[in-house]
Amino acid sequence: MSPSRPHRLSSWLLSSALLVALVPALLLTGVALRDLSSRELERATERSTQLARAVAGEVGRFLDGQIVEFTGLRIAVEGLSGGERTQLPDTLRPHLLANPALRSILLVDRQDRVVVAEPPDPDAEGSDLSGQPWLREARQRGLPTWSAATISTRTGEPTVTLVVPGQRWTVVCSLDLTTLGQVVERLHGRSLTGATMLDHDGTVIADQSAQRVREHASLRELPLVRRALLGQEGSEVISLAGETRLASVAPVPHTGWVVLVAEPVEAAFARLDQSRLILLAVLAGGLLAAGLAARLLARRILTPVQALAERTRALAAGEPVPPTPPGGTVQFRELEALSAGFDAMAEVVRSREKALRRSEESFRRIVDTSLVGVASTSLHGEILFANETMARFLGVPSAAALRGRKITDFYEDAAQRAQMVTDVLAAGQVANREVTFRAVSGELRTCLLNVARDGDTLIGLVVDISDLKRSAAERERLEQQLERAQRVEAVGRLAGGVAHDLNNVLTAVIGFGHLLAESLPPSHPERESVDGILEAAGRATALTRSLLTFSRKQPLQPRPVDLRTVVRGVASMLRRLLGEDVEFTVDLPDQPLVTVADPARLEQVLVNLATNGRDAMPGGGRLSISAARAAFGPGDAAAHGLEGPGPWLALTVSDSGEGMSAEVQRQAFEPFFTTKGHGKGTGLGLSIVHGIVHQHRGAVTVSSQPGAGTTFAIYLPASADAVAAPAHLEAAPTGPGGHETILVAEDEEMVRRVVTTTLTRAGYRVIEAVDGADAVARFRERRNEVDLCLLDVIMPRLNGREALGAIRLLKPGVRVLLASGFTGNVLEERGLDLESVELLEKPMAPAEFLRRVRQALDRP
Amino acid sequence: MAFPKRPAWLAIALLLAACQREPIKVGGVFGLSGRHYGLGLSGRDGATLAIEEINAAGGPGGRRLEFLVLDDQQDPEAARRAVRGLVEQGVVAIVGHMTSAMTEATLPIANQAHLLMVSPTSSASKFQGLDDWLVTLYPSSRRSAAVLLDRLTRVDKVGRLAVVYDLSNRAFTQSWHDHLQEGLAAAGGRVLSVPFTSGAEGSLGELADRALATRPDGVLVVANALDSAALCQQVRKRSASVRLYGTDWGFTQDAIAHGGRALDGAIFTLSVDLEGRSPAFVRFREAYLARFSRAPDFAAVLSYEAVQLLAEGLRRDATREGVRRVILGLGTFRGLQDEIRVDALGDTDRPPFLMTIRDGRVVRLQ
Repeated sequence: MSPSRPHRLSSWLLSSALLVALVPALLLTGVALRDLSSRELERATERSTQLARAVAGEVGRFLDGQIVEFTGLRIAVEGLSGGERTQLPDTLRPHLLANPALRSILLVDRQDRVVVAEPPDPDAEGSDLSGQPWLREARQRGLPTWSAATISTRTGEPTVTLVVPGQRWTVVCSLDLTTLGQVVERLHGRSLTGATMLDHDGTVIADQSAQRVREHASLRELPLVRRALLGQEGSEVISLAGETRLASVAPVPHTGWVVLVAEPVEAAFARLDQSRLILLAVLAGGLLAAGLAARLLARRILTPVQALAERTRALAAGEPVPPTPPGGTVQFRELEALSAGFDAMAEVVRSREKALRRSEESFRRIVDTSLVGVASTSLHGEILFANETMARFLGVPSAAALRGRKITDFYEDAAQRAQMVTDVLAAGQVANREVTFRAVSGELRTCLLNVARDGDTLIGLVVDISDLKRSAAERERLEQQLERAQRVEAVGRLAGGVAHDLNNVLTAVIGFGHLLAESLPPSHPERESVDGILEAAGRATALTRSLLTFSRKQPLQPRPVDLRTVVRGVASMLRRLLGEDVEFTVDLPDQPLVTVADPARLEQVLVNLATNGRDAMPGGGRLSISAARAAFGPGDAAAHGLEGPGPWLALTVSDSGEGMSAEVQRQAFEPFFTTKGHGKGTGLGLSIVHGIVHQHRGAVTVSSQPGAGTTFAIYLPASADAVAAPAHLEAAPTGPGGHETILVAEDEEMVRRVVTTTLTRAGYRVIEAVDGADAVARFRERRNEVDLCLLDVIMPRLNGREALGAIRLLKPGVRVLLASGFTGNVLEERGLDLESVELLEKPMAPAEFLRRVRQALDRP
Repeated sequence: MAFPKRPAWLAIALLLAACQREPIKVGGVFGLSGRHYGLGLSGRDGATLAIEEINAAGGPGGRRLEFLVLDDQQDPEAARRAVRGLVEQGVVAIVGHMTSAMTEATLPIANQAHLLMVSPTSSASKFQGLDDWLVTLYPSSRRSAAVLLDRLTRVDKVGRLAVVYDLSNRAFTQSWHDHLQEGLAAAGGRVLSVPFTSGAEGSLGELADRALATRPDGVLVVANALDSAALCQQVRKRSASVRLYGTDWGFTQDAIAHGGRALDGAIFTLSVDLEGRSPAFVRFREAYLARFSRAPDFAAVLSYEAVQLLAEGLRRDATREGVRRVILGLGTFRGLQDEIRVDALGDTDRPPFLMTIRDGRVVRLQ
């Protein structure tokens, strides 16, 4: 059974009280009404019957009076003799004057002829009445007889004829029935609205309505009337002229007529209705009083209960709880106890609520300030709650703005959300699910999601790992770059070492070669061979120089230069290099692009890259060079291997050649790595580019796809310096000589012999030392002779630096030249302080060597 | 005391009213007051008896007839008021009037409203042969006059005939006068015209003097029952030998009561045999006598038949147009005494015959 809706206490109390009062009141009223009704019905019927009887009696007396009167008249006229016949009218006339109902009197003889008519009527006199049924009936009976009522042909009024038969004369009187109404009125002293006279066949002969009389209305169809015509009195409720009436009938004596008294039922039962009304009013009053009493009682009980309900509602709604009403209204001990109990409960609820609110505020603050996004959604994705962090993740201005939106709108891939919901429904939760949100700005955010189900709600914790992911990718890239750099570096060191040792050999070869060439006359048959040796040695020197450049052991001669000048300077040479089937374009800005660089090296970079491009386009194509300024954000600069945001200059060389695979790109800058056929390339071209660019504190990148060409981008630091005008240095055609004494310390005997020979031939005196310690010893012996010390840097026992130190202890102002197969910066790395010491790089042509020696000796 | 408890009979009445279908309203217009009331009363009572019998049998098509009766007061204006009132009340058809003058006054209203009037006793010749909304049950005055004319010329050898006729029902009386005037002239006789207006004459004796002034062989009275009786009395007072003639309108039981011996030997036309022996007529006469405590006259018979004819139509179609269509298409109709022919124009064929009065009793002339 379903629980029904609870009743209102006040209504229940009221209806109960009314019910208790109503049942006996209704029973009592019902019994009283029943009793009253039956008595009133009896009384009204009795009254109506008596009235009908009284009217019938009155009419009967009126008619009897007429019979008496005209019987007297009949006797009077019969008493007249034949000679007194002329007196007949005079006998009749007083009756006409005295009787208001009388309209005419006829005296009829034995042959049924009218002899006298009063008032006089020539038409009537002599008329034959033998056809009249009432005359025949009266003669047969020998008694006064009433005719049926008719409408008078003369007056048009209802008329009845009284026939009084006699021996000689029969008296025939016409009486106007309208006077019957006056008779009844006289009887009751009021107009008898409901009295109707009916003749012996039920036709109306007297009535309030003259029309009904004129129209010969018949009431014979009423059973009550039919019974009355048979002589029965009676009463009945009938419908007459469209109205319901209480009717009573009574026969009029001797005539066969009937009096019908009809009264509207409202009037007939007016007293009954009045009594009923009083009874009902008493009943209603009683019920009203009961209701009021019940209401008063209910209010006394309900007022404190309602106050308690109001306070409970306020407590539930979190509003201030109104105070307990003053004691006057609470008059029941039970209710007082209830109120006190409520107060205690309210206090407990308030304190719990306060603690709960504090706790909730605390948790809310934690959630709002958390770096983790927190959100709850419906299963369909409607966001029910979100913290500010979540709003920030999704690029929405506030957490409130997120509420009501669909979380699915923020998923980059709706399938991720669907899968997550499926998994949560299956397992109750998901942990560390990686999903991608698209923020309002369109930015994609990779997040880790932990979701748990709570009924129809999904609660999710979201951690944004976008930066972490980016950092990891950057680190991987940097590690790859470092690995590559380290590999190039290791190769460079190897190449540098080889080049150094080779330089010493070449120094000897070139030195002795020159000596030999100088000692042979130009026409000497061996002179061609010597020149061949020297040319090969020259090529070997260029090779070792390239190796040293790649390993950044080739010293730079940097100065501010305009990249545009460099490109334009090399352009015509490149056009020739590329050939006619390659379309070559140069794109340069109008503004200067100044960097501090060795222009010769930059030219080499361009040549190497152009050569590389040409080799990638054997069937021809396009090659373009462009230069521009470039600026990077901190991340982008690092991604390109640059040290800072710039400003940078970018030099780009693009070809439309066959392109490179990722693997080839990874190895492109390694020395001796080549994709060209055997004997076609050294594998050093891009290594040298890499070395030169990094020596200029720049970076080089390659982007390429197989079949889609290759683009090299070189980034160099921009400079604000002005570009200096190019210096024109002209080297002396032959080395100068002198007569000074020079201490030569060189552990390589072959090199030592070449140097000594070169110096001796130029006129110098030479003191030879086989290593550093030997050099110091020789200097100590002959310190006053020595004008210049020429020390190899790398030597056994004491190296050049140590030897120099010892020598300077002996003679602080001595002139010194250091010589090495390494470049200066390598020596610095090895801890050799070269400050104020000039360095000669081996191998070197004899003329150049002698010029440098002379410069050292001539220095003030 | 027979006194039903009010709530009980009220409830039963309501229940019956709820169960019954809507009644069919039928109007009745009769001259119930004034000097012509005798004809009107008989008409009303004959019609009432028929209505009561039809309703007792369940009504046409199960619908009760509601009979709304009005008095035309033998006054054209009152008659028009009454018919207009019945049209407004939505009656389907009207039974009435009893006199040709009233029918003449209201027929245009009925034609306009497409309301069928079934007149029991209107018999003026002018109503014959018209495509209108009137059905008459009585033979035309032309036919009745022809029967009387035959008697006058062939048997009674009347050469001079005084015709006393009432102008208050001129549509009827004038046509009698004209037919006889025409017929008698053709036979070499002559009609002496004595018109009068019922109720307006000072003395009927003077009227009788005028009728007898030319020494006629006979006097024909075309007037209502009271006037006919009174006139015959005055004529007979003045001449014991002159022959008296009358019409069925004037020579009713009332006339015999008021006329007495003066009417003995008078001859008049009639179309209803009041002494008829057909079972339907016998049953009707007994019922009428029981209901109204008097014997029916020809007007009661014709009114009764008029309602029966109407009911026959209503049984098949209870609309104004429909009931006319049905009745005009019937062909024949079973009256209380004979099969009556109804033609497509609503005229009936009922042969008139002659009656006379001997010792206060009406006797049919062979």
